[in-house]
Amino acid sequence: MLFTLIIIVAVFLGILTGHFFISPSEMENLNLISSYFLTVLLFSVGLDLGSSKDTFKDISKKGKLLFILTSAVILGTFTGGLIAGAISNMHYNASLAIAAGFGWYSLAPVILNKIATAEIAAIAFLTNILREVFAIILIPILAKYVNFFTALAPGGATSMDTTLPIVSRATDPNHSVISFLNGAILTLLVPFLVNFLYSL
Amino acid sequence: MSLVISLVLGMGIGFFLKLNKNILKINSKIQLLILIGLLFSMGMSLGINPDIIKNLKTIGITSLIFSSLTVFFSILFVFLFHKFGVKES
Repeated sequence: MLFTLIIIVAVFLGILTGHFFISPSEMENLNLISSYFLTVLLFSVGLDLGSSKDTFKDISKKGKLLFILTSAVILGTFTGGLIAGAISNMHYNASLAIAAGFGWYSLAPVILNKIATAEIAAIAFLTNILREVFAIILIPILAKYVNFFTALAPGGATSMDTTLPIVSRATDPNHSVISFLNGAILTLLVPFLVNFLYSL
Repeated sequence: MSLVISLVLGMGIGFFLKLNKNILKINSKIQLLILIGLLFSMGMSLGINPDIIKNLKTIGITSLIFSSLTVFFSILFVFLFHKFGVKES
């Protein structure tokens, strides 16, 4: 639980610092710093994964688990999106397109800004940021109290980068590899699905 | 793309050089520190954005409904698919 607490405090202090002490013109530098952090972090996670014997074991079983995971995440995300759309009085195509960001908040809103309205794009932005925040908080909790596999569910497309270190810390190398591949597949699907679903 | 390269590079080095446990322990500590830095800067990019803070009331609730339901059903479906779809031996 200490880890979850550290995570929440770090994000919260960041929000306060960004809001009160940093000027919006620094946004680009901030993104640059984030991407440096992320690059080093993924190298470090890679060292962990490469050093573990489990990583390259049972490839066919991993493939089956990967298929189960990715299809469950897609179906779950769309189900949640449709219900959320019904609650918010939103058309089903926009609802599905917002959900189909799978947490990738820098891409889905950009696409929707072009093909839909600015409001839908803004909702997609915040929805997908919040998905990432939920994932960051929930992954360690699910891993501890439910099981490692279920902890791979909330991350969506972020499972291959931003939330991968959290998965790696909360579960084991076996699950980290499946998480990475799941994130990679969802990431590839985002641009296609957002466009397609909105056009329905 | 550079992220995938850096991950694969790390995996290659970890796989081919047999790193000893001490190095991996230090690596894990460094990982935690960088992760905290990353989350802090992610928080900053949220707080720095005036549009988000300004529109929080109008789009905030809708976004919260969307994000919580998509995450909830993802977790539920993964849990159920795993429970009934995989026979652990």
